[in-house]
Amino acid sequence: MSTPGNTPTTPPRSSPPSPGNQPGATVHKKDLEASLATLLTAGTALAAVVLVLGIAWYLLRDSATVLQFATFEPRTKGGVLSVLRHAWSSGAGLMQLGVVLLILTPITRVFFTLVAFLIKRDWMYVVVTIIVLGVLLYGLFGEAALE
Amino acid sequence: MTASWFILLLCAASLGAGFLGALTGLGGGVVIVPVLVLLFGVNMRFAVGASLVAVIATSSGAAAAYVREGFTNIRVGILLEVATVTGAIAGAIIAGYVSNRTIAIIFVFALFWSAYATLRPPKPLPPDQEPDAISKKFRLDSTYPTKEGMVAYKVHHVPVGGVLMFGAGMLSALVGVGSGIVKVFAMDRMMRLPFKVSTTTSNFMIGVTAAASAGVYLHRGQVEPEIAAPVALGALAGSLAGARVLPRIKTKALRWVFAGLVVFAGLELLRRVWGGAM
Repeated sequence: MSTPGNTPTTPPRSSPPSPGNQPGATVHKKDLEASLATLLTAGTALAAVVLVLGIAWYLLRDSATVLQFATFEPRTKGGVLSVLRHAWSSGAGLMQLGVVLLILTPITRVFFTLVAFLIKRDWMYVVVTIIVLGVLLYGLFGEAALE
Repeated sequence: MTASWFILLLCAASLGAGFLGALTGLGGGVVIVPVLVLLFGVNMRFAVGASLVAVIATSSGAAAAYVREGFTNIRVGILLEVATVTGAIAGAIIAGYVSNRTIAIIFVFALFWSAYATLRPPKPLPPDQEPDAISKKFRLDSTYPTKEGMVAYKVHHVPVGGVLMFGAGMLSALVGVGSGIVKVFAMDRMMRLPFKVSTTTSNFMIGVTAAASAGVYLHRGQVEPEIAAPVALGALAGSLAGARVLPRIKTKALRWVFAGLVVFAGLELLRRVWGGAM
């Protein structure tokens, strides 16, 4: 990933191909890349664990339920907050928590990208990232406005 | 079918879908929607919701690996995400007003395009070193690692890329796929990023795009835990396994088999749409 890693030390990237230059920038880039990668791995791993636990709980308690999804009859309407509220009440609730953790992982990454741009005082990209984050949060919480 | 069988079979099927999706570069969504609709009798709305969650899972899993390698252009990614997430929200709103049949037909179109792109990977374009005003303003030009060290590249046609990305976001939300094909097309063909930078940046963007519409669908009740949880878990495990195996096998024959299956699934979906079963 090249870039919140683009450091102030990086020359404007309009120079012709120049193999192997910018060692300082590369080191900085690598740091940020590594921490973003760790974040992604951690978020996904956490979600996977919750999904496994939720599925196990569900199979132990509700395995005889007859499921039918041929017609679209929503049973679990409600956004993130309602999922958090019901996470510990049943296997299905815990499974949905795992699903929400998955959805939150890329959003969290955008948030950390914003922090990286803020640290670098890269205001143009701070604004760009805030717009992306705003639209994402609108999707997550502003859905009521869409109904 | 009782819940335990339904969930275990879904896990297994999604594992296979994630595995094949990673090996062929098509991603999981293109496989998961037809598997859910055709094999498990799941309504298109639920299938799209579950598939989007699986797309996020596989994208985050794979992106963690790519991001370390230093190919992804974050500036290009985040700038174009303005277009993809807006497109995704628009797509999710539109999805509330169109029929399952319409969604199925758009999906089949995406399916056929994916199959075609898998079989006919585009020829590499020569790098374009002409400077571009917008790219300069947003400092999009960057470098990427090659065998000969870091190589600089220039980015072009940002507005065209933005329009295509809006479309990619809309398609992703409407039919529950990652739209990686559209994203790579926009970056590689139109904006002239190096192919490897295009694919990894696309992967970086896919999860964020899908998260925008998944939030809307969650609220609307299109994300059922009994479907989404096993599908996401299976697809994640399958795609990680696929990424492990990928460097060690030849994928050409596999691509043909896969494209064949995808086309078959598309035709079967069309048959159902025409037969009024959808």
